[in-house]
Amino acid sequence: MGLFDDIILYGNLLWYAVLVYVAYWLYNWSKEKLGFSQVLVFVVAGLLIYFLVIEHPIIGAFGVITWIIISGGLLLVLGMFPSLYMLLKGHRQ
Amino acid sequence: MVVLVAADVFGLFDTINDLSFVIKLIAFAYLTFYLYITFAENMPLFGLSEIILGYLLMFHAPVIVSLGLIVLFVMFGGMLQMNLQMGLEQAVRGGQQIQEMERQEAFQRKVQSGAALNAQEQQMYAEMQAQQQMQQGYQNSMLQVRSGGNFGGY
Repeated sequence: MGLFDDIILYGNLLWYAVLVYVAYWLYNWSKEKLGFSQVLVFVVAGLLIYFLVIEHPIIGAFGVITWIIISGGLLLVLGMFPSLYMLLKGHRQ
Repeated sequence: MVVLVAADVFGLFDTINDLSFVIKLIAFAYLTFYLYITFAENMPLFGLSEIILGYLLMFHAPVIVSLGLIVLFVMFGGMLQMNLQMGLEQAVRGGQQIQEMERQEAFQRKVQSGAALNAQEQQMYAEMQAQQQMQQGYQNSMLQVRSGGNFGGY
C-alpha cells in the first residue's frame, strides 16, 4: 500500500510540475507576442492560464505539449530511429 | 436529443464555449502582434486597427478565426509537412520495414533449422526460391554480356 501511495504522490507532483511549466510557457508566449505592453501581457497571460491551466488543465497541457513536439523537431528525430536500428542490426535497406 | 442532453450534463457545451474564447484570445494576441509590427511608427493607426480587430473578433469570430487558421496553415504548413513526411511517416514506414525484416529472418531461421512448414510458409518458401532463381538467371546473363557473349547468333 505504501508503494501505491508513493506512486500517487509522485504522479500528482509530476502533474503539478507539468501544469506549472504550461503556465510558464503561456506567460512566455504572451510576453513574446505582446511585449510592447506589460498590461496586455498580464491580462492575456492571466486569461490563458485561467482557462488552460485552472479550468481545463488536460486540454491545456495536451495542446501546449503537442505544439512543443510539433515545433520542436522531435518528430524529425523520431524518423531517424528505424534507420539507426537497421544500421545497428546490420540490415541492408 | 439524448446526446445533446448528455453533452449538457457533462459540461461539454461549457468546455466548447471556454475553448472558443481561448481560441479568439490567441487569435487576438497573434493579430495584435502583427498589427503592432505593421503600425509601429503610427500609433493612432495601430489603435484604430485594434478597435476594428476587437469588433470583428467579438461579432464575426467564426469568419476571422477561419481566415486566421488558413493564414496559420500557410505560415506553418511547411513545417507541419516536414514533420509529418520526414518524421512520422519515416518512423511508421521504418517500423513496418523492421517488422517485415524480422519476420523474414525468423522464417529463414526456421527453413535452415529444417522445421516443418505450414501451407503459408511453404508458399513463402516457393516464392523465395523463385526469386533466387530469377536473380541467379539475371546475374548469369549480365556475366555473359560482360564477357562478350553470343546474342542469339549475332
